[in-house]
Amino acid sequence: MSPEIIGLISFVVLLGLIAFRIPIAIAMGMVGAIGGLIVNGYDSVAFIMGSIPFESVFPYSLSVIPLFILMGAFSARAGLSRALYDGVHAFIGHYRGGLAMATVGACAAFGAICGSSLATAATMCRVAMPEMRRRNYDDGLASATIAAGGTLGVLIPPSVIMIIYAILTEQSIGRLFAAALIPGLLATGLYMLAIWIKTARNPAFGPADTRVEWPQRFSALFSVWPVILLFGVVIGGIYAGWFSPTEAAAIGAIGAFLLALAKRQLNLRSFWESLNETANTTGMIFLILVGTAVFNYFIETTGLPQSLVSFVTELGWDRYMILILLVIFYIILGCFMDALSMILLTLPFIYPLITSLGFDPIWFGVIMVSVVEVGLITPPVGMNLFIIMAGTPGLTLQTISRGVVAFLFADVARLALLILFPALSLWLPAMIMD
Amino acid sequence: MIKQSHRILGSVTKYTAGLGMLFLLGAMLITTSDVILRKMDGAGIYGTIDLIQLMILSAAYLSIPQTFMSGSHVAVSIITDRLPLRPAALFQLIGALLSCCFMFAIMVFSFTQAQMQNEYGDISMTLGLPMIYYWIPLVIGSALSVLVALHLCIASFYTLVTQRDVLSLHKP
Amino acid sequence: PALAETIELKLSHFLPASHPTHTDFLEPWAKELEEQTNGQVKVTIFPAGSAFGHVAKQYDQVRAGVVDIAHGLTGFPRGRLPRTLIMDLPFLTKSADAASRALWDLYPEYLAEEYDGLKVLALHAHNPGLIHTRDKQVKTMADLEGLRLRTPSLATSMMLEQLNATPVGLPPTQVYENLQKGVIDGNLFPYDGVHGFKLAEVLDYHLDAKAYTTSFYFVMNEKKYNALPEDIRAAIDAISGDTLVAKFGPWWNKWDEPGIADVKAKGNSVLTLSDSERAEWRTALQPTTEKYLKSIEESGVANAREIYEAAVKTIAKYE
Ligand code: NA
Ligand code: NA
Repeated sequence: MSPEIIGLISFVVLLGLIAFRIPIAIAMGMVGAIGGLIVNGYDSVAFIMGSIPFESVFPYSLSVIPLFILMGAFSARAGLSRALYDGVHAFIGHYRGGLAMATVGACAAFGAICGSSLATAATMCRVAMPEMRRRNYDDGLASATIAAGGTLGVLIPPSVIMIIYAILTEQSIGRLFAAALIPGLLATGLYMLAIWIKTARNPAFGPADTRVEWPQRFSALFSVWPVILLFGVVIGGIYAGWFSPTEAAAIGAIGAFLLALAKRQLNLRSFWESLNETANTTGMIFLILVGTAVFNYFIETTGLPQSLVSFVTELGWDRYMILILLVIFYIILGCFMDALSMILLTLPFIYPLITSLGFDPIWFGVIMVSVVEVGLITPPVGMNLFIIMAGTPGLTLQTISRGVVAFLFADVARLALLILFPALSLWLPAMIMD
Repeated sequence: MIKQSHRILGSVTKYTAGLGMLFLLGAMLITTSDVILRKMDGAGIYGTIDLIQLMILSAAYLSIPQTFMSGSHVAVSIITDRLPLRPAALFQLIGALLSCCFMFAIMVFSFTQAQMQNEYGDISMTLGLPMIYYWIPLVIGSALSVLVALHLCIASFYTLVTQRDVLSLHKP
Repeated sequence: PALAETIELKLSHFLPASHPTHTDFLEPWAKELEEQTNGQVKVTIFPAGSAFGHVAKQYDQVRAGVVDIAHGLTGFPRGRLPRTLIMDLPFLTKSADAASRALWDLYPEYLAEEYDGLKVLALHAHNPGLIHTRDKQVKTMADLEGLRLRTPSLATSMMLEQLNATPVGLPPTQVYENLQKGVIDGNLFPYDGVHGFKLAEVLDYHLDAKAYTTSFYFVMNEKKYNALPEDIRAAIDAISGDTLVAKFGPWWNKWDEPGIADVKAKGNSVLTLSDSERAEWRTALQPTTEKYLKSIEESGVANAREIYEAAVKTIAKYE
């Protein structure tokens, strides 16, 4: 049996295990390890199982994940999220789905300072989920809003994934950032539109509240100042060059802690609860990183991704047909793999193909980043879905998956627009840089 | 018996995770101090990244046993929720067994790597901390996870055989 | 003879597949081996981002036989190859060619014992790196005082500390954003890295001090090598060793060109140290060299100073 066939079979086995409630991290890890044993032998698996658990947690850049989760936990305890949502609610709460749209807006604002989807989803989950629940929003819509909004962390620059694309393909990072700005705003707008349509069809998903009078609006706005201060310090500090985006997570966490203290919302008990909550999410996310890395190691050594790409190349189709086929391929692959692994594994084969077809590399970068980000919100394996489930008691994968469908339509619409109108990506960099 | 070991493991994993979170708070404080100090005198804390990496690694691996204990790992329960107790317990048992194998493999093979790096005398990039420090939380965390997973195996096997859901593992 | 079975070799390295070490050196090397053996050998390359692409794992995985051939940095993991790393000391060499040839000359007598269990195919080092800054032009050693600079290696960190600058350890992929935000004031890199990480966009000044180099190893698992048929071993030998080492000087010159072009295109200011200025820096930095040699003497390399002297002499021969 060829390694490629073993790779294909392993996908089926993986899906079977996941369907029967085997924890996803464990299913991926074990399928990867056993598959690796069959294809590469004992020594290879022994080495990989000894080094991946270390290497997938060790990189300094990953420190943002637990620290932003901690920031979110303190913010929630300090009532910051509540104040923020009271403020937003006072202004737009009387519109259907207003809070969900505001959440997308907040994700976009956060995405403008943070380069990671996971961190954006983790932070916004702690802030937004309890508030939307409190106001009787549908669980599926609320959680899917945050999951989709989380992808804005990467879609709106700065973005870790874009930097990696630029480096691998020798493109300008600044140019790619400029190119991604309008598509990022487009994504924000389309997510809001998706919420509008969904709540228009069924108002119970995001019930409208009574209109708040102006004096109360101003008093609600006044109680938002600690949030503005915290975000101001975090965003302002990055732009002023006081600290790097990676360090911002720690500054944000300590800022939220101090605000919670100042507001007398933090006692020993709630402090311990914040830590406990952070520990659960941290352990869950890092074990998934380990499981995914083991599975990717195996899939890569089967040569399956390369075979799929060369299969596509040899079809000899029209270049737009190939592009659409690639997009579909990435969306399917994204159901099982994380964004970064997909880029790292396939780019060496896809990129020469794309440039040989005469596509613009910066434009394709925007498309590629968009399409791998879709994978974060497609079940069964979608990191953003997991992060929100981990932070939300009682939320099942079924519920959040049901809610996510509307946002997947928004993603597909955005991809279509980006492919049809390259100017959406290429106009701004040309304006700024040429 | 099962309930007693559940209590004991529950509090052991809770304190271990708590220790991990102290490391996370440490990472938060060190990063902040580094930022403040280098604004003041331009120097910052020497070897911040080495320390942060050690602390994040500890935070992650000391938290993992608790995530097994509290069932925080993401899983799809569409099908098992509709199954009667016995078959559900069977899949619970398979999940616990696979978890046990995976964490055991991590523990054993990481221990080998750790030993090798120790023999080489590997040290961290800036501060020159022995790399074995970085492996300690990993090996401890995975060993404790093996114990927890083993405990979950026994509990779900007991449920499978007696049809008594001792730890209410099968949540409808 | 009967149709021999295909021998599959795994070759791993830590640089992206777009990097010239992959496209100009490793890929053609693998292809040549395949041709020389009439297709009896098939080489699969695992670059950065792949399962075997981690920078700190190259040495371990090739020794463990998980991959058969590896190209790695001698500085990772820290302290594994202290003898070879002597080449990375400040102001020792002016060119990749001299440094690479010198390493290969030193190898049999002085460096071989670090590569136990490995068949060394080549050693090389990049063209000496520059000091790059944003906001402030560095011309003298005093200009470095108080600057926060990202450093690529232990030796450069020690050098910066001696000159009262703050060395910052960061993954190379994060240099761009930290420069852009002003979290660091500059970095040390060869031209090749300036291009690879798009740094010209966020840098303004460059001091071509030829301050330091970074050394690399290209090795094969010894057991695997010995188990190969005679003719295949001969094919490997023919395209490695002296033949290969001689190519690195011209290669590194070529690999630096895009970085030089980037800097020129942005209109940045580039200052170059004269030979006499370099000699001044080198003399002033003797304490760093001393400290480094002493530290590796303490870790058990008794003849560290002898290796250093031999390196100085050999480099002089090639420069
Ligand atoms: Na972003
Ligand atoms: Na997915």
